[in-house]
Amino acid sequence: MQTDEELMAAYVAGDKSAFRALFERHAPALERVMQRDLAEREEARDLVQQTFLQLHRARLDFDPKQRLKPWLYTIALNLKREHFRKRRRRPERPDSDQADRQPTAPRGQEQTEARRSLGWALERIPPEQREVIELHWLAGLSFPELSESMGISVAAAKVRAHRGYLRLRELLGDGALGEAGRDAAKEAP
Amino acid sequence: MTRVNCEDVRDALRGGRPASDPELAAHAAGCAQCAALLADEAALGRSLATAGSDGEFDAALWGELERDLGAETGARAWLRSRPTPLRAGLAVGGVFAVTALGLRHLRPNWDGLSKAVLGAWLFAFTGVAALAVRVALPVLDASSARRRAALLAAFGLPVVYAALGELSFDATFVAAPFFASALSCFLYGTLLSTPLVALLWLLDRGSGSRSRLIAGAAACGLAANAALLLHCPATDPAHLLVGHGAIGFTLALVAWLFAR
Repeated sequence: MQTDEELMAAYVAGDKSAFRALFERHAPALERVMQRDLAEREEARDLVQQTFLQLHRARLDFDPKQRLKPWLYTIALNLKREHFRKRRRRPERPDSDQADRQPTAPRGQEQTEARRSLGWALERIPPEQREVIELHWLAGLSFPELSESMGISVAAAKVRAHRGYLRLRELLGDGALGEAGRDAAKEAP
Repeated sequence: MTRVNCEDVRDALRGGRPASDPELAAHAAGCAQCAALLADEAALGRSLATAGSDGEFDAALWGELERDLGAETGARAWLRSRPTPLRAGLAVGGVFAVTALGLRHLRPNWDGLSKAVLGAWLFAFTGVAALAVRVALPVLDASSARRRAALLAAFGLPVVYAALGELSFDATFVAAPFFASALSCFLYGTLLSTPLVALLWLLDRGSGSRSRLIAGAAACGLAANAALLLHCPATDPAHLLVGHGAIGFTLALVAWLFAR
């Protein structure tokens, strides 16, 4: 399988199908990241669309020696921040009784459930903590990289991550987390 | 034993390495956030490791994106997709071009001016304008500290010049009547800056970032101030502030309203 960087280099060289491959690979996860703070799915999809449009416009800035994913996620999160600034509101959090209840699923769906539980918990931690965790785990940015992209110190990024992890553990509870972690471990390569 | 860092712990969990691994445990002993990840047999770390690893292809969204990509044609699409060093270079060229427009009508006291002092002010205005261009046309947004510093310099310089204008040149020149002369300079400077406004619009990638737009406006204001430095003999602070400095602030206000 071609790496992200190889696909992007191919796109820059004129292979349009490479851009579709990048979209197929990253759009679903990006949409989940976007949707965590948005009530409307359409808004999240629009931001994903904008992210890839910005990536296309910036394609000649791509340096094949650098990793693509941190760049893509930094574009996406900048767009998300601008979106909230324009809407003059804080990220939304579902507040219905239903949304506040930790999701459960019948046995056999545990693997999906593990992700859903984590997504549920991520929605409930402060956005600045969630952003660090998402950039570190989903975009694969190192702490120095994400501190640069967020305009904060490495120490501040680590403190946010630490607080976020503690809050996630608190929300998921030892039992649920243990189950989620075991389910996730089953899928680990 | 090699020393591992937080990124190694993340990558190890993604790769399914056990939490009991001595290297990971040694790192976690001195790292609070990794200790939180690795507690309870790395339950949290493993959950995070697989987050976002699946998803379905959204054909409708790809269709919409394809339409957007298909519309990326013409001069603006070509210009804004140039590499950022080239875009920034073109914009800095625009700053110098606007400054050079000030040479068309030189200030009446040109011959008696200290060219070293004038050159120093020109260098300051164009240099800070280039800095503002860098913030306006980045590969990715600069850190907020760098952005703030550049914007502070861009909006502070005209104020500093208004305060020091009288001290910079041998003779104080008070433009009269005040409002007519200030308005005249304001309109002339704004007019001179319009080619740079247009160029920055052509080069902008449309991220809608407010700080980028405001930095672009500041660069245009500074270029206009540099041109007016060559053109206008006034040195009284009120004129410099209202007739010259206000250009950048007004353009920034328009950019701010546009970015809302």
